Amino acid sequence: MTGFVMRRLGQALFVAWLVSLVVFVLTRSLPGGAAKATLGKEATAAQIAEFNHQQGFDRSIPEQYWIWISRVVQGDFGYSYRLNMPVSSAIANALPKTMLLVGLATAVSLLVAIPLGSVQAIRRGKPFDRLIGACSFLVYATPTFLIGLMLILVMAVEFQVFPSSAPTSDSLVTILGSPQGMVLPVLTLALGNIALYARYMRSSMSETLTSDFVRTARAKGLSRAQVLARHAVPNSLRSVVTIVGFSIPGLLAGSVVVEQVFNYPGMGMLFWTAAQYNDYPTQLAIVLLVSVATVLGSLVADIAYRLLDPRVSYERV
Amino acid sequence: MNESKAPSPVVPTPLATPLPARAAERGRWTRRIRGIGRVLVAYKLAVAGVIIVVALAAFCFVGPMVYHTEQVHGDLAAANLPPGSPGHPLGTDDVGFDLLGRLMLGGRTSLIVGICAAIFATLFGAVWGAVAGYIGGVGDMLMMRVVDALSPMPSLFILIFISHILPLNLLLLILLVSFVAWLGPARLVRGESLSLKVRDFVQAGHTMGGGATHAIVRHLLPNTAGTMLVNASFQVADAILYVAALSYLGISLPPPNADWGTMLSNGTQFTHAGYWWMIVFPGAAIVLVVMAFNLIGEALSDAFTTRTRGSNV
Amino acid sequence: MRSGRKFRSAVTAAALSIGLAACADSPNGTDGTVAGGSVTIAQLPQSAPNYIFPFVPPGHHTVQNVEQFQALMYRPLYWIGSGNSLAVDEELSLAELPVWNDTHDRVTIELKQFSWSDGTPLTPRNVAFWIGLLRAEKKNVSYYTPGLFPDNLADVAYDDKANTVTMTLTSPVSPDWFLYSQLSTITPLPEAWDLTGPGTKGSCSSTDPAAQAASCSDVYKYLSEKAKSTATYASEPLWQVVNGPYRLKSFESSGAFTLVANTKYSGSPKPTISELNFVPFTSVSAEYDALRSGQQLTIGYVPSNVLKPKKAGDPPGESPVPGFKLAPVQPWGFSYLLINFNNPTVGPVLRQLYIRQALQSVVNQDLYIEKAANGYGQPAFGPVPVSPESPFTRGMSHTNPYPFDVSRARQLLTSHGWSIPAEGPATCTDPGTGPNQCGAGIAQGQKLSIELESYTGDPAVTQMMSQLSSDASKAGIDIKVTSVAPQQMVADAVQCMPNEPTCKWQLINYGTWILNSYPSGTSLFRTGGGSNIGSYSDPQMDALLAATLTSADPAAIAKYAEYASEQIPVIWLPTMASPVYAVKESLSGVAPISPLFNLTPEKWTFSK
Repeated sequence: MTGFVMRRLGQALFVAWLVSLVVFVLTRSLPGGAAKATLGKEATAAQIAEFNHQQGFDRSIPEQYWIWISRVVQGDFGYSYRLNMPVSSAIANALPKTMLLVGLATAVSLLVAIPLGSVQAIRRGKPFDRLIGACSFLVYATPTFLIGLMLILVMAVEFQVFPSSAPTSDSLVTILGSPQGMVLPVLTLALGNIALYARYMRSSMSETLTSDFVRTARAKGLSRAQVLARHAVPNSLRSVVTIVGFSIPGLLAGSVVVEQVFNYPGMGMLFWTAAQYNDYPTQLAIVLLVSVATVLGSLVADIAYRLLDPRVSYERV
Repeated sequence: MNESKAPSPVVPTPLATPLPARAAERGRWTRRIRGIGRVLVAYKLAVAGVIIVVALAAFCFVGPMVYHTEQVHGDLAAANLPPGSPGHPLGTDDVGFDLLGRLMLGGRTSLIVGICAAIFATLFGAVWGAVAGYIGGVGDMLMMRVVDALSPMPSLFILIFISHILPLNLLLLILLVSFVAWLGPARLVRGESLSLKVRDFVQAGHTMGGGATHAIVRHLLPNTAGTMLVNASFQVADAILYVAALSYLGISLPPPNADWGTMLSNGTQFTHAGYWWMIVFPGAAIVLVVMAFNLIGEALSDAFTTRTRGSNV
Repeated sequence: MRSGRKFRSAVTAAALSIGLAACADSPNGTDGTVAGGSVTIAQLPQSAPNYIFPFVPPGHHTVQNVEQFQALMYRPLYWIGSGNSLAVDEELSLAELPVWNDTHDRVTIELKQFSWSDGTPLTPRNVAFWIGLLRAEKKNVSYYTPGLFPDNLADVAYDDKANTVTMTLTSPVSPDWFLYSQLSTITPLPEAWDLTGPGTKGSCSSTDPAAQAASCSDVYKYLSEKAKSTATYASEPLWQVVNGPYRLKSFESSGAFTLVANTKYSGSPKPTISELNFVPFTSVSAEYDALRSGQQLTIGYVPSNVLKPKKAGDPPGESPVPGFKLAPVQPWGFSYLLINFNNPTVGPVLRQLYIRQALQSVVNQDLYIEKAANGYGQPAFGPVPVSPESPFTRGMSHTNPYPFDVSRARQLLTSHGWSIPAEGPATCTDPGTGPNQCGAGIAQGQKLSIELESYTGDPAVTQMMSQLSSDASKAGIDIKVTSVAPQQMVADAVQCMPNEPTCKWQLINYGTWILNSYPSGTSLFRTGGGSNIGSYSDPQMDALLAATLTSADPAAIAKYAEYASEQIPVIWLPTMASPVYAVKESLSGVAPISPLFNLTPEKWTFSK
């Protein structure tokens, strides 16, 4: 098991490094570069030259990469001229917010989807299943920003039940202190995933319910509830767990949209504005982190998969 | 739970379980198509899905031949007209294009991008996976490592970044979406190739002198066609949604090109101005087409797994 | 309470000061105002301040940093622009108007009686501090243009007793230009900041240039290091030494910050609002949703596409959000399309005046303002806006030499050797340099096809570009519009020579150029000017521009503006009112907001 984990961690680092290299080279090959984008329209040629010199853009690309990577391994992600703060500070401010949003959305999705999918599977073909299935389809087919927009229009503007903006604060404590502001953003991000996870749960549960050992358990006299709780649900969870791990890129992508709509400046907004302003240090740092996070996410999912199914051998990687 | 399924999970495409061996053995094209036909007939919703797709395709590709509108040069004086205005049954958008005509044009792009991206991704991924599964050993490991390495790439971030460098055109958009999507099919097909390559008919092909290409093209790929079809249906739906999300972030084909995602996100800028038609119509179109492809995919995958489920119970 | 200059000039100073004192002393005044209270202000999207030290580096000279953040705490020497006026505001300035000698090469500035919040008075050493930093670190400040301030200073003399600063210049200048472009960039800095390390005094605020030269670089290093640490802005005692009506109470990395009234403010009027809360927003729609859903905002802004249409030139209409009134800001600037005169393919075409005239004639400014901004904008046909009136545009023509006329555009082309087909771009059928021929460098059969790079993110811009392309096609001009992210557009707009790879751009929609209060245009249109991105070059333009810097002729600006209007060095586009603020009805004193985006919260009051 540890060997497996070690190998995957190594893979995570390798992937992150590869991605950083690609993005680094791409950023440096942009004509015009960062100078004008950061300094603005009134930048004079002298100011541009000075900026390029201070940022090291007048050196060769391999040299620039070496400087950057050697700082990164020491934990120095560089300085964002545009934000006027170290990149690590900017990320340290934005990351917890995104993690909170994504975490809450995932938790809500799972809490709703697992029971929903299970009930759908149990009542397969019945009106409840069809109704939820239809709603799932509808929700899954609607783009995230449209869901967000509709929620705002109905819940925030028309009926003023929830605020249209998430709380603005540096500290998570303050944010959690006014939870009503998080309701709409979390809901928007979660709805699409609820539909997805519920369908996985439903199909996985359906298969489990018709499998041999479930029939055996029933034949042995266990009650329906016992069978569900002890066998059906845990076995069906595996497929859901694995796609949760793989949902991370999707959730991060969704959060870019949700953060824009709900005024919640997290990693998504940070990256998006960094990309707009050619703020290379910030872009690179985020790409690195997100890559690592995604691999770790799938790693956790894989470990959970194994833990839930001891029949799968650990050596089969 | 099907234990021959590869432990490494697949990229989320709902219910894309591999085609079991028995059905694969039986596989011949005509029988398969008839089988699908039977299935679709049995599932009314799936039929509805197909009808929706066909109707939308007709609307988008045949429609403009019947209903002519100016879709290249805007007319700001006629902008933001509500549905029912003379000459504009669905109203006009913010630069003055007739909305109905624009929906047709936009649908062409959306459907083309969705279907082409799905085909590219599925084909490329299938070939990759089949080759990897077939050759096995070091080659397989290297090829799948590439897949594993690319999976966690924050694709949206990379796309945002690329869109700032390169001007977007149709081909580039299709390639970018396929680039994100081919990993799932690759894993699926590789998993199946592993089990298929030891089957008799593949071995027989070897003894008769057929090479690797022959094995892959004539045996492996056709036998994964069922899974691929299911996967592709969902890919189309996901691609269309993905393009819509990209356009909300400003990554879209430049005017006078149109696609439903861009029309929708453009329309959301005018929510409070009261121009509801710019949101409702493209939004409904997207939801319809995505639902339709999902229904088709669901039904196909239900059909393929019902066979085996039926035999276990 | 305060209206415009018109009223001020009609009332004597004594009466005014008595009136002000009465306002300041009676919180619940007879005019029904309420003291105290807090105002919540929505920041523009992605526009949180990030630099507190007034000696701003290039790229950080933004409205959110300077006019709407630093200036509330650290007053500039001369305050330019308030309400509808673009003139220097003598009340808000820290010095009397500058006094010149006859040859316009020596100026004396008398400082007013003012004090910093740490009790020290405003002295010439505060100005010396700034000039010292400028001389030592000019390449690190955004205000510096080579050849100008402080390079044009021959000598500076400080008189503590008379409280004056006397500058001797290297050559005579236009007094208006010098005040509005050079002196206006000076922010006096407190001696409390003259440190090279914690507790270690520097000598950058000394009146001796040698002492300054020895110390200013180190002081700059220390202060700019402090300025890089945004997390400490609220806690750092240095930044609490202010002379403006407000000081910083809290500053978060999310962009939210709070200013509280400076009780030791020595200017007038004294602030009645005790707290200003600035709230960040990620997008216009997020802010407008917040406004619509009843979120606590006193001052927000409204996207112009939700406004009820009004006629251009009419006063602002009703606010779509109940309980608020609209306060649109018509920026002191102009919107335009950059022309790349050095582009290898279309450069020769664009160099022809008649071509530019044809292009300008297909710009339907009135339609754009009506449809893309619902009437909240004004036409622009020259480098100086026609309104508000500026002290420098006396006698400037207010008529558009090239109003929208597609037939005139066609006629210009056909009379110069182009033939216009029924569909598609015009082609040059009579090349040559004769008066009725296409012009130098234009080949036989060359198509009139131009690429225009615009930017995303603003629906009004998309609408304008689409209509421009459409109207141009009716005149045989084929304009291909592409859109990129706004910063990418800025990055693409670079000065270039024809053979360089960066010279592929042809036309770029550069958005709105915000002018200095003295709209000289030198950097934009002078041959080799720092912001002359299109490489425009015209000796007569150069001569007229030079006159705006040196001549005392009050009509110098008007002459240059009219010439530019005729010559079309860039294609003029209407300037839309942006932002359109929405102010709570109970808050008065906010509108009209200066076209230079200055905020004067000390004049704001809540009415009962």
